[in-house]
Amino acid sequence: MRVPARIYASEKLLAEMDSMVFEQTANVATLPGIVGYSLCMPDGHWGYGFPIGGVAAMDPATGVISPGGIGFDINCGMRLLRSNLDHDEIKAKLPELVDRLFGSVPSGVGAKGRIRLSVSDLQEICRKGARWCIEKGYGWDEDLSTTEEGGCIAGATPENVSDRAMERGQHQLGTLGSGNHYLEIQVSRPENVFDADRAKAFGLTRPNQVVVMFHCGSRGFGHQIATDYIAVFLRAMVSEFHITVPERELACAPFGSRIGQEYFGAMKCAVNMAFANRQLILHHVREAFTDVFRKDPKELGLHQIYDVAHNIAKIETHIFDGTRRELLVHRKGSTRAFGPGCKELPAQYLRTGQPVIIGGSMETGSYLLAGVEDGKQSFYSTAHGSGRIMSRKKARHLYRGTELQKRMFEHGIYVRTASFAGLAEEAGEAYKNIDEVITAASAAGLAKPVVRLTPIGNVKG
Amino acid sequence: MPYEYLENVALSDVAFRASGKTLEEMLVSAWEATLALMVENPQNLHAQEFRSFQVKDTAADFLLCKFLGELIYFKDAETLLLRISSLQVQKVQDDLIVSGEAFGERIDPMRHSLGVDVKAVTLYQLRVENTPDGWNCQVVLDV
Repeated sequence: MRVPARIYASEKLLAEMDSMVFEQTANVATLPGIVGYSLCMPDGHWGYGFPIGGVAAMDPATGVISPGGIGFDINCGMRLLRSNLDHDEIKAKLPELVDRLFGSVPSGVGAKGRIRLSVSDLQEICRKGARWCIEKGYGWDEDLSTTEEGGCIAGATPENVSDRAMERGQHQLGTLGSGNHYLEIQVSRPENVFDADRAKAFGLTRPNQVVVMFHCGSRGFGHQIATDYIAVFLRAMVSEFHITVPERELACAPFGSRIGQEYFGAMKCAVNMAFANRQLILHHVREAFTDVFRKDPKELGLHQIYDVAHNIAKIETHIFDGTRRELLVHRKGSTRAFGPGCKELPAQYLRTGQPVIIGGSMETGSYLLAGVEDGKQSFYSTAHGSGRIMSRKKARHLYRGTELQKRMFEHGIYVRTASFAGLAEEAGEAYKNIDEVITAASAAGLAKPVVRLTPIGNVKG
Repeated sequence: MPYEYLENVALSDVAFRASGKTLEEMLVSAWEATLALMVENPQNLHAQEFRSFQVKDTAADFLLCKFLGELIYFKDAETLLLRISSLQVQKVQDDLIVSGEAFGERIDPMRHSLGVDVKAVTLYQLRVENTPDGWNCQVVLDV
């Protein structure tokens, strides 16, 4: 190990972590150019190369970039939207709204986006990200200011993306995916507001205010880019760079090398495609609310709170060992959480710190937090979810999707799904306790809980 | 059953073992294991669309990756769910070349009972073994 490994967790979470978390966090610590610590967040669990919840910052001059430190689903992330409605105002129309959302936002195996795109459109989206959507009328300018990187990370190079990736991604813009991806209607109950000042600054001003959260990424496009470059790196690691790694999924290349930069440029294409994907979904959400409530989305107060990535690598400036340094920060199943005063934040969040969106299971709820000053210890990174504790096979064996849907309805959550088998796999019991993850993240000084959000409606692929 | 899903190898995704008397049979079993995650009763897919494919690699495990990747590609790029109708593996110098024909249907949520979307073949604990009893493989899929 070139640096120590550090895992953030309570004793209970640590005891529940699978053994691969420790092995993989230690493996990441062997990567050339790693700075500080190999980190793992409280929701850490087994991944490919990096653990999920893994964070590693590298010196760009001497360090490597590793697709395993970003994940297959490049820029898988979260977006949160508020409304000026409360639970009572939508209760009667909730099933209609969820049904409408299920119809508006394609999800599941083989889902195609509602917008017809050419490959050259997708190439333009690679360069422009969510801005492409705004230019076409699928959103508002303000959506960009409340999206990480303004919805577009500079330096994307579509010429470094394979035809295969383009063909996989071409029909998927504006789709949710499946598995643990979802779109949820939630409410902010007054007893679950932990920081009223920050909640107000994030636009949560009413008891039982209705919000919409969704979780998805770059779809087949990002997966193909990751697959392509893992193969390229594996060949070059031995033949060109003479790097050895403890497992193949940690395949890497020097960040400054030709192929390292080619992957970085291709990765940025997937980052931007995912921002555009979530922007288009946001547009469809606004359309659905308008159709159901017969009001303009601005009348309904459907403003974005934030959009944040949890599978990404970025050049960021951090103070390390008393020196301001540019570092390549890998976050794999880890959310950026800039503290108050970070200049990358939009003006309205400079005082509060960055909104951080962490999803729990579909039955237990999710959290909105804020980045804090102490977050500098982890390069301003925190958890991203609750993490699975049960295999998909076991969950399908224990639960029936149709019965789970009924159970959730009895508990006040109306669910539409493209796959009942998939729904069974996402049963609440399959996940860690999100409250414990959040408590641990907060206690460690990685982020501050602002509000716990209660699910009332769900669309799953 | 030429394949089984594994419970303790991958919690977030899906792992399976597949087998066959020949490498060709094992590859087909691996594809059937992958397809069965995405659609119930894949044996009922009709022959409405036909595709050919060819992949090659010098190593059997990467060959398996690329082969499964072809059919994942058809699922995303053309919204096709395909079954294998014929497959052969040839060794040409250092390369193993898989050539095959597949048939199937465009995905239709009204007719197909869909499962989870398979997005990538990972390298995690990926292995292909040639034993006296036949060929075995283990695969973890990103879903």
